[in-house]
Amino acid sequence: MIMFFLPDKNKTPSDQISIGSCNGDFDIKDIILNSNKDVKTFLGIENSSFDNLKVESSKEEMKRNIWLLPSDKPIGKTKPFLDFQNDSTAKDVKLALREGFKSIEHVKRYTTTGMGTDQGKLSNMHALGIIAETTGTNMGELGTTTFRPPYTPLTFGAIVGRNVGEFFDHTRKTAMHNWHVQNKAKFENVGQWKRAWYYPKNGETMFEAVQRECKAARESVGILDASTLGKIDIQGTDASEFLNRVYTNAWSKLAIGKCRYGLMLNEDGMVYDDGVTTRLGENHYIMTTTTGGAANVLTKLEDYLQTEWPELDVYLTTVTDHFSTISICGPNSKKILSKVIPDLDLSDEKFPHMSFKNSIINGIKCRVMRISFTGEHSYEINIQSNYAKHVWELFMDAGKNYNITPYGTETMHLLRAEKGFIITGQDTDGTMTPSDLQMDWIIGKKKFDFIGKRSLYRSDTIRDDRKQLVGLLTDDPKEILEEGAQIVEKLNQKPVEMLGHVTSSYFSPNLNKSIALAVMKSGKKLKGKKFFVPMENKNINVTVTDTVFFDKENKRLNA
Amino acid sequence: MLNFETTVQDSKSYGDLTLSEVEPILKINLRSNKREFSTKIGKLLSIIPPIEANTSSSNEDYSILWLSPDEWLIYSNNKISYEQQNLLEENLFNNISNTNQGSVTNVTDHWVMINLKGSKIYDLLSKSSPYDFKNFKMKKGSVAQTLLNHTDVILHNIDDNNLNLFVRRSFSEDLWLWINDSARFL
Repeated sequence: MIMFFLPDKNKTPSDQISIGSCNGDFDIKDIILNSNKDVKTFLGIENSSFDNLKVESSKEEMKRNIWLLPSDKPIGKTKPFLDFQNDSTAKDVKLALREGFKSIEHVKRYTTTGMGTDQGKLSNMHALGIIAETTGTNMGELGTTTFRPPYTPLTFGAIVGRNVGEFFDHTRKTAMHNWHVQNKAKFENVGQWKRAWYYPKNGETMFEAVQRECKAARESVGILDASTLGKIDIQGTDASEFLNRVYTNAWSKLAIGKCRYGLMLNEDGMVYDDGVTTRLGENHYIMTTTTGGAANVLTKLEDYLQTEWPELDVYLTTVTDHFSTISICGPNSKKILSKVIPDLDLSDEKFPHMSFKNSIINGIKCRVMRISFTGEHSYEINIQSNYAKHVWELFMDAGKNYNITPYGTETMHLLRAEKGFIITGQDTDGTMTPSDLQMDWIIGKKKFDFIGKRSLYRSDTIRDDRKQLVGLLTDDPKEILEEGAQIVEKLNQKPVEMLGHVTSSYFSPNLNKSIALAVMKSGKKLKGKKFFVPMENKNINVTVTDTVFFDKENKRLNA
Repeated sequence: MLNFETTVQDSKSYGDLTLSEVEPILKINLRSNKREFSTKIGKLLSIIPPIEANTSSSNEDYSILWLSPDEWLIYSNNKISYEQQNLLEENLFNNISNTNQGSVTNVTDHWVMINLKGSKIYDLLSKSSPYDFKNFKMKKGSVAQTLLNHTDVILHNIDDNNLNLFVRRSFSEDLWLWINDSARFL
């Protein structure tokens, strides 16, 4: 006897039939005669030249399936493998049956038979046969397990990609990428983005280039390609309430045309992402996220809307690639912007810090935000990406007489560090609350709720001796600390107690000294105290300071 | 007017396989779970957003692709000027977003549209997509959201052996290189 699965005739497309072994015929005589009959029926013909064919073939009298090869040893002493991907054996299947798992789905889960990438193509028939034989059941009654992807064959390309040469990994490029290349930018990988890192001139080292770019941004004007920031368009009648629940601060009273910085927490109260969100209309906002966090933030917010707050009338759409962002900063940024968009009133009264205007550049709509990540008088211009390179060139042209200087991510990091602005993921590591970052001001004390609020009042998150963000100055102003270096108080103590570590460190050309941000146990209480940063060959003396090193009064924002 | 600069700006042929970027095409993302939404879109564009998963509806001017139970992508079937794009976007925004019937978001430059034509397009896609194209290729108007060379893409079957592929702008140059590299081996 032979057993097999036959195609379900009810599910077979009308333009197909199964013949031969596919239809359960294995004997040559049956194959020819039955195929002739089936094909005639299928084609709707009465006669064929094979009608009177006499077929003689030896009849196989005895056929049987061997699901398990016989052995002179008891099954417990053998390893009759069934599933070559998961190494499950006939012994495992028999054990599953003894344990009471009768359903094929239960046997699959107990033994992992059929759970490999072949989804049982190699093993399931034998497993079914062994179960049928052992339990005395008809194989057809047992059924099959659920075949899951990749049941349909996949190419290796789909699994691993090409992974050769330029295809080794994806690269994401901004609309201005080719301009950066032409101007000899060095690039930094940020996620899959290629971001301009710095623009060396005349054989400059990275240090020299960054120092020059920093000085230019503070003394005249700098220009940055900030297109990689995540951008999420938020619409709906509950958009304000949604932001109230997502960010730690209050959003209901943000006026149309205004921008606000927000800090997003995880459920555990730890800082997750940050960015500026702008109110474009009554029920319309544009949120910016960190470059690396863009996809995760969108997923998280969509998840919240679908599962936790389905009652909210809010819709999210990513527009990260639609808009390119050009940031100009420095005391001459206003003059340059007024050259590129002459019709825009840039007075502090009409266009104050943390506000936004719709505008037009040479017939193309754009959004201009007056926001700053450097502490300078600064604007961010968001324009459709297919026009962005030309706009960038217009700014470069307009800024020629002001020594407009393109700067990369390294200079951006340095400029914000001078102001003590955090970078999520660099100064935070998933264990920092807003309070740890000395940003208690951003927590809305009167707010009913927001993601992570409950966790902020746990005994562990209000401990005084948590690691907190501080500023560090080296006694020798030329000495630059290494990021990641440990901070200690007592060098001779064994084991030495590590109080914290350096998170950001630079030589500031605008202050002409080294500056650093660090996280230290009880950091808030340590201002003015001296510590050591032990290095391989020396110990560096440091003093804890405020996190803001430059323009503490924020006078330059309106300069 | 500012210079218009897309990423690919190219067209290539490999045997009967033709690859070409088609721009400027208007693309608008729609989201809504309101009852009146479909009727409104129908009145504005003479086309009803499909409710069946992975399908689309089209007329002479536009196609609407189903992306999720409350999300659709509209794109223009023909190249249209920036001014026309603005007019349509504003019309939709005023009638949908401003009346709280859902959201209208311009994603024209978020996506790059590449047209693939020829008998081997599914061989090409299968080289690096986990998607089973069996049903997709047999049904005109089918929509698939899948990965191609590990990059998110939206595919729209517009005719036999003729489809439009949407890829995010920042990934488009990278994917275009891969498509051309793979097409050489077909």
